Amino acid sequence: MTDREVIRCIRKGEREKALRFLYREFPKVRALIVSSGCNEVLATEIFNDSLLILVEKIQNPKFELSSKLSTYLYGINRFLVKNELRKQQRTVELEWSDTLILSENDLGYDREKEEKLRKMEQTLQLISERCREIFRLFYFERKSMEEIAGKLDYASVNSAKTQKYKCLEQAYKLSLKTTSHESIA
Amino acid sequence: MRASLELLERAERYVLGLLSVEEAEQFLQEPGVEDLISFQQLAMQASERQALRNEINHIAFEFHAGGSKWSNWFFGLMIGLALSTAAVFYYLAQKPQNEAIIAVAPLADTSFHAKPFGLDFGFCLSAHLTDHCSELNFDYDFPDFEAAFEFPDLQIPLITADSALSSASEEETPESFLSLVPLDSLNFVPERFRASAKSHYKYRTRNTIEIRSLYYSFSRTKNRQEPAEVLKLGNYNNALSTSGSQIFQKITLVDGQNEPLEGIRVNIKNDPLKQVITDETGSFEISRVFRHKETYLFDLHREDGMLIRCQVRCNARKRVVIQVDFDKAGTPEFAPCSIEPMYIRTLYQPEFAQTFVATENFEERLQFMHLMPEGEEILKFYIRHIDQPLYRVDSLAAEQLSGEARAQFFTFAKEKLTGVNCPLPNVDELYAYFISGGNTPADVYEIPVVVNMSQRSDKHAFIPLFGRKRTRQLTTTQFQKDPLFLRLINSLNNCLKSDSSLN
Repeated sequence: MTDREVIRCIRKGEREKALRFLYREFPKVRALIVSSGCNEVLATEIFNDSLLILVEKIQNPKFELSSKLSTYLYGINRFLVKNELRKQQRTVELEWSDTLILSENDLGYDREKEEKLRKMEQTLQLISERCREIFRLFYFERKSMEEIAGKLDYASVNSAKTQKYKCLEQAYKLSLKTTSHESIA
Repeated sequence: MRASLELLERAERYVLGLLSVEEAEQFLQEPGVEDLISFQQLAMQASERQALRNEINHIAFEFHAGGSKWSNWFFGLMIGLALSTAAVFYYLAQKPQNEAIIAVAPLADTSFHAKPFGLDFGFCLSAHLTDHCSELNFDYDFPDFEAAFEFPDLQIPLITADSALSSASEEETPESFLSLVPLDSLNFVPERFRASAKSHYKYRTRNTIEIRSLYYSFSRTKNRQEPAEVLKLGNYNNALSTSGSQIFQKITLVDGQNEPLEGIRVNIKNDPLKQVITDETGSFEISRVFRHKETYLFDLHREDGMLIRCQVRCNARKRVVIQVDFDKAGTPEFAPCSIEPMYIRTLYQPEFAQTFVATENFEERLQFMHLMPEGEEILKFYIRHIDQPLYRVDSLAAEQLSGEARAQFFTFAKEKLTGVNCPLPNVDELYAYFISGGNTPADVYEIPVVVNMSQRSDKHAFIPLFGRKRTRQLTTTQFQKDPLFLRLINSLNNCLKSDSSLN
């Protein structure tokens, strides 16, 4: 697959094919991450996160590729490794050859927002599986409420909608609770 | 919709840009909407991220499951050798009657919902057919209630390979296809029932018979609502209470009769030769050494044909006495167990074979969970974090506990056990599967299932089991009936054995 094809696949929603292709880079990236002082588990986590960032970037219509896609992917990984090492209060100079040096600005990486998103993901883990499925279908798969009602066996579109907002309400309350806990702590 | 929900709806529409300029301006005037909007934006993005993360994890899992090129070559070579050997044996010994079913795979819906006794039971019936067995045993499997009815008198004539095996007919049951023998003891009146076959495939080759699936659903016909008393079947009230402390809280007959407790036959499934009879108090006792940590199954038969299936988990390598007592009100009391049996049974499904759940070490933790009031929540917590190293989950679980349990789980954490050497499972899928007790509504894939599934290995902690196909993780619904299939296969094999011995 060419870079262009990968981008086209992702934008068309055919992510699986593109992701499989990109995952071929994993062994090389893993070796680099491990050589930078992270363990295998962390290497997998970092690589998966880098794919997530890459897909999100590509899905943005304004995204323009200025290098090879694999080079860009390596750049994201390098950035994430540095980030991780910083969290661990380790300063290691990463010598990854032929890799882009990407900054937070280059990636549009907002640490504060990432942290909020991470917490929200955790909050969403606390709601029911069915609620998550509704969210997935609506926000990720972009399904209509008619389709969701049919797929999840709701009696009517209205009851599916009400359920979705109840789920949102539940998540909202949970997120408020988490925030208040943190502010107390 | 409530006002609070309407506000959320408007926040969502605002974020999605679906409000008109006037509506948006009006919406922004309302107090506290900034928080709601920022929550909505985050929730949407986090949902998308979660879904995308799942997709990536899925691909990562497959990537890891693929192994190295060398191992692929090695396994390819081994498979080739095995196939050649099998071909030689096949050529040398073509004896049709000694073969057994090679695969059973449900294709379509494996469960149907009916309200036969005023309760919403989901159940699945399946059956096997062979040249040698004309009688089919139906297990009524009520997974949510951890109980089963059996109607041993129900017979269905053998369907030959030449029979017309049409798919489901909602109108009438084809006479040639299925006939029900009245069950006098249960006042089962067959003409009031409709049987319909769902997905139904049958293949016959020279010496193997493969039934891919055969399901029946029973329901009342002609819109006649029969009074429940006619059925004279047991009605499980409050079975598996919310506390989950007892397997059955109360068992009553629909007609309110109190059955004598004495003389109930108890078959011990794991020990077919053993049968005990309850005494006047309804109690029975079994004493034996268990080879492994096992779930022992008991069938309690009553004179009216009702059968209660229950299970007791046992400790390993110890002589234990299992005692089941019935009180005078007909309430069997089991040892307290804080985890619903449905969950335990789900853990034994192949979906969990490549996770830390399938290890002896996890069994140890499970035993403690059984004794803790919050055991079920902790178990769910473990499954929710099944992709994490075990010691980390131990430690997180300990933090949620207090007293001795907390100390015990910290002790577990100190073992520093990481995890099985397998790729990370898809946690959300697995958790959903677990929570639903193996009934997750999911797409069913047409993948044949190998019948002789390996049992989970307790001997090699943290060594993954081999022979699991990646595809299994996706085939959630078809595996929920594994124990049922195994029973069918065992029964069929016994039948074939007895038949061949007659020859």
